Parts: sequence; structure tokens; C-alpha cells
Amino acid sequence: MKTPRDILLARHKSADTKLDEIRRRTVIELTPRSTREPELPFVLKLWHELIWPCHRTWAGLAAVWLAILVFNHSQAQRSHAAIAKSTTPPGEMRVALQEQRRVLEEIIGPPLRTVIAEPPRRPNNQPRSQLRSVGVA
Amino acid sequence: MLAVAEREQLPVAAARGGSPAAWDALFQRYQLPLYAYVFELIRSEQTALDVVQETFISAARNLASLRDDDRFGSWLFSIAHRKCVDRWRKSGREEPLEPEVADALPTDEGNPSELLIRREQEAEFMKLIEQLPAPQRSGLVLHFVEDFSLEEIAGITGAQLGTVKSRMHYAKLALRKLIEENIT
Repeated sequence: MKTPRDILLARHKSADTKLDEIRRRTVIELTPRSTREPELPFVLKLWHELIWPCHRTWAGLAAVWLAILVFNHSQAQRSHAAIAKSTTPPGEMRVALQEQRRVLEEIIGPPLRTVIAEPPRRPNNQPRSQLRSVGVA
Repeated sequence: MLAVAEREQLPVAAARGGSPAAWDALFQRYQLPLYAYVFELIRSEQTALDVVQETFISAARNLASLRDDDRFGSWLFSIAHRKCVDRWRKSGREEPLEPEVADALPTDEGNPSELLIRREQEAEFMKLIEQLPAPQRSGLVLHFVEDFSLEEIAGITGAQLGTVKSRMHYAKLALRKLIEENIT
């Protein structure tokens, strides 16, 4: 045997979880901001929410990137050394160039000097309008 | 039946002082009866949950207007009732009114909340509650879930005391009829 109250409340007991959530949210709203947990700065929040939950994965990725960078750097240094070894010193190159120029001059003669053409001058340095009027007359 | 709402030490003063723990205790005490009442009027789970939340927020904002801390329960239910009526109006539903015949009614009909209902009668009992017109249902559920007096029910529903008496009279008659039919 049950009272009407027992029957009514038992009928709605399944809503208790949702009601608990509503109560919790409402009480949080009522709690003054000063007494709530202080809000973390953005970087720390990012750390707590994004990095820390899967920190092993992030650490693995960072290690891989570090290894790639170290490998890349060492390769670059090695290739620089190889290039430096294989190239002719600049002094020898200059002498070879001078020799080439001398041989070329012997074959085709000294290099021609370019003559800069001067623009045609107007007779008597008169203005163009006066020249026309003279022609017409 | 034990008087549910009265003679309870509720932390209303602490809530007025802004204590979140006091509000939590108050809301926890009333959340299920309030939901049951609102659901029986509105008949929609989501709307009933919304009304309960709005009632909590409204109570927290307006607690200063409550003069008597012992009346916290009926005050809370009156907020919820007004919100239900607002929803009815918005959805275009009219709250049906019963004729005021209270003065002609006998008053010694017994207390319906003292009824004991057998397990096999529970479904019939709920069916009857659902079939009652909204004002009768409102009064009866308020009486059942929190053992509110007729004066308190009148205060919650905003109806005249005589009107509440008549609604309760008809609701009790229907209920007794059901019980007797099931016994015989």
C-alpha cells in the first residue's frame, strides 16, 4: 500500500538525474564569482585541456620533430663541407679568367668602344614654333 | 499522512544571505515534488524541466519578497504555477474554471492524502489524476505532494478559497468513486 505522494514521486523518480543537473547549474550561477575557482590564464588552460590529457603523444611528436631537425642540420653541414672541398680557390680562378681575356684579345683585337650618338640639334637653337613660321613664309 | 512542507527546518535565512549550500539544500528538497506538480499540469517532460529551472532562478532572484520563511514551499510552488499558466496562455490554452459551489459543500470528507492505494490500483489512480480537469488536478496534486492546506493551495493557484474547496470536493468525489469501484 502506498500513499498518493509516494505514487506521484515514484512516477517521476527517473527525472531526478536531470533535476540534479539543473540544480547544480543553478547553484553555480548563484555562487559569487569571487568564491568560484579562479580562472586559469589562457596558456595554462590550453596546457590543461589540450596538451596534458595526451602528453605522451605530444612528447613523442616533439621527439620525432627534434630528430628530424638534428638529422637535417647535420646533412646540411656535410654538404657544405663537400662543396667547399670540391671548389677551386678564388685566386686561381681570377688568374684563369685573366688568361682567357688575354687570349680573346689576341684573337679578335681590343674591345670596341661604343660611340654614343648625340640627338640631332635644331638649327640656330630656335624654338620649334618659329621654325615652322619661317618655312611657311 | 505526515505534514510534509510544514515544521521543517529549511535554510531559507542562509539562502537569503547568499549561501550556495543553502540554495542547494532547498532546491534538492523541492526539485522532485515541484517537477511532479509541473509535469502533471504541463504533461511535457522538457517543458516541466524548463519550468523547474526557471522557478529556481526566479526564486533566487526574488527571495527578498518572501515575508514568512515558513511559507517557502508554497511560495516556490506559486512561482512554478504562474509559470505554467504563462505557458498555457502562450500556447493558447485556456485554464478551465469550475463553478464556485464551495459554501454548499460538506467539509468533513476526510483527507484524500490519507488514502492508501494498493499496487494494482496505482495505474488507475494515475489515470484518474490525468483525467481530472487542470484546476482540480492542480489542487489535488498540490495536496498530495506537499500536503498543502486549502488556504495554501488558494495562494499558490491564485484562486478564491471557495473555488479551491469546490475543486477539491469534486476531485475527492472522483477519487473515492474510483477506489470504491476497485474494492467492490
